[in-house]
Amino acid sequence: MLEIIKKNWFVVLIAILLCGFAIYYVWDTTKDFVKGKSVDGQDIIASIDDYDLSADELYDEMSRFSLSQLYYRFRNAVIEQSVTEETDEMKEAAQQLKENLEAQAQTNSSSSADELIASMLNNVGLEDDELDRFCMLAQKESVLQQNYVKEHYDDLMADVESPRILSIIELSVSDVDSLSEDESASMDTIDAALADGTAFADVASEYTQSTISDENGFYGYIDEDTASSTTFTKEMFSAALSLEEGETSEWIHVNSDSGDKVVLIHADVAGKDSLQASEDDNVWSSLASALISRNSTLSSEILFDAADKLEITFADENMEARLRRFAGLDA
Amino acid sequence: MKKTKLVCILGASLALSGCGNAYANISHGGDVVATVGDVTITDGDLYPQMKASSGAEYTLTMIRQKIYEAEIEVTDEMREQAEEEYDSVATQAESYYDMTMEEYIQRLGYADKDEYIEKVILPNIEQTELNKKYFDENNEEFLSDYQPAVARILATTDQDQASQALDALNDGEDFEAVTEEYGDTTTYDGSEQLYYTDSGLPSVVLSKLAEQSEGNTLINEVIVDSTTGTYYIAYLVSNDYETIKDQIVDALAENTSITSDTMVYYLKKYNFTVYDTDVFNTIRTSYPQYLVQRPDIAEADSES
Repeated sequence: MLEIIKKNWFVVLIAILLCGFAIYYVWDTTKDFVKGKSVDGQDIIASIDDYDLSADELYDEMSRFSLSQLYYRFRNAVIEQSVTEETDEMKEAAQQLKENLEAQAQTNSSSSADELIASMLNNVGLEDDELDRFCMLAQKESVLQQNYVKEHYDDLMADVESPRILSIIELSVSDVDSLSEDESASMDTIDAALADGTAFADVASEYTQSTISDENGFYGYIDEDTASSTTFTKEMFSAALSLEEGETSEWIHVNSDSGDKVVLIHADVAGKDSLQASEDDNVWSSLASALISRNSTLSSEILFDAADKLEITFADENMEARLRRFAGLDA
Repeated sequence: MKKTKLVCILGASLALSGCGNAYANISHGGDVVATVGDVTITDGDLYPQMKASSGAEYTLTMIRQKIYEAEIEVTDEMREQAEEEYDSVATQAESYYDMTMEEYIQRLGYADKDEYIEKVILPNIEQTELNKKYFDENNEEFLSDYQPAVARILATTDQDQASQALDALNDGEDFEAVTEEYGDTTTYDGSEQLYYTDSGLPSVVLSKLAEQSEGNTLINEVIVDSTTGTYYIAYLVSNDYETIKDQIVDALAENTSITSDTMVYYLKKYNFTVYDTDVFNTIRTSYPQYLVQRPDIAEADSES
């Protein structure tokens, strides 16, 4: 042995050095790792002298007070099994939502976009890479809600007065009390186009500067109980509520902190019967959104109504009641 | 043969370095919580995200509870105080939420009033008691960190006024009267008050007060706080812990910095160790000082 070492001392030296480096590397890499601990087959989360907090014990405590993970997974499952069709429109809308969310996440400087999105997804029972699923769930939930509103139309609309579906054309002006020549000229052009018989949506798509309607001027649902805002003012509401179906208002001059403008409003649909007969998804989607935002328990009622139609079991017999309360029902 | 062994050992130890950080798992991840049509939701589905989002807070609460059990005896007085606080919360909850307190508690997940008191109200009272214990048990460090002293203070931005005030005090005039004449701030009126780090009195004054070996002493110099251009005259009433202990307790027993220092002390005393990476990382972000198993992390925070 010694003979070999003497003869090949250089090689042996290198071998020892390499061993040394390897051991150092392992030590350096692992020294800051969080080391695990297990007692009687139970993984331990943390300990102090004489007490080990096991993962099981932590989970038992958390699940007594934290329902959101279960609730959202339950909700996702109900939605996906109640609305199974994915139309092209839904796919397009989902894609649009995804792009909007990604763009929004990019603008946030305090966290990376991926982290923000992952965090949002985790909070609603989804994995880090399920953004597509999230966006499609949003479309499916909307379909679920629209279908419910159609089925329960009479009840939901019982106390509603003067329902309207509106489209609008807006032009921004510098001072609505003193319009410039150019601004007046634009208004005249629009008036002429409408007088010519061009459809309101087409005129809107060419001229509107509105940020509160879509590119074809579609604004959506209002009724007598809808609250006004700085962008949809009281004067606009008065004008809108007095329109018959198919009618367009006079130019409304709006003096507003969020920017002066002149506005034309068109009632695409007016009245409960006409609304109920609509086959336009945008109309139902807008109506459903309006009803839900006005009624804090409606979206939960819709979810649990859908759940009732599915085969659902819970290991804990109190769980369904707990989930209903979590969702704001059974106050 | 020896060569092979050596290579094997090397290989194994290199492999160790690939082991990574530990994650503690529940033993019953396969248990079903709910089935919705074709979809099954198990404990294993729910556990990881629950642990990631609230595991650290629950862990600290449960560990703290064990420390309270070991260090604090719950007296009748404390129980009475808890009952009073419960009644006060009940009145508020009933008017705000339009439901009985029992319903409100159960809505939150607690079994009954006793559990709510044990888990929500009593812990705050126990923490205050633990803080008081901390003042005694870690006395040297507490005194050096907080430099508590009962003193009379005069403050002015005019150096001449400060000198004149000092002369007047050396002539035997009353401190509060001198403060009224020569001081120019409402913060210090010359009355006896407890001062400590973070109470607003500059550290240059606190240090002078801490240095005095006897109480009831006028510090015979104008103390300058150059960062604000303010001149102070200080009269030390007492910096002796036993003498001013009651005032310390009144002022600091519910102080959040003290609570943090107390927790660090007792977590070290009881060798608090975390074995799960998610919980470790959350505590590292929110309460790095509590990671007493890693002084490089815990103490970096206190230096910053």
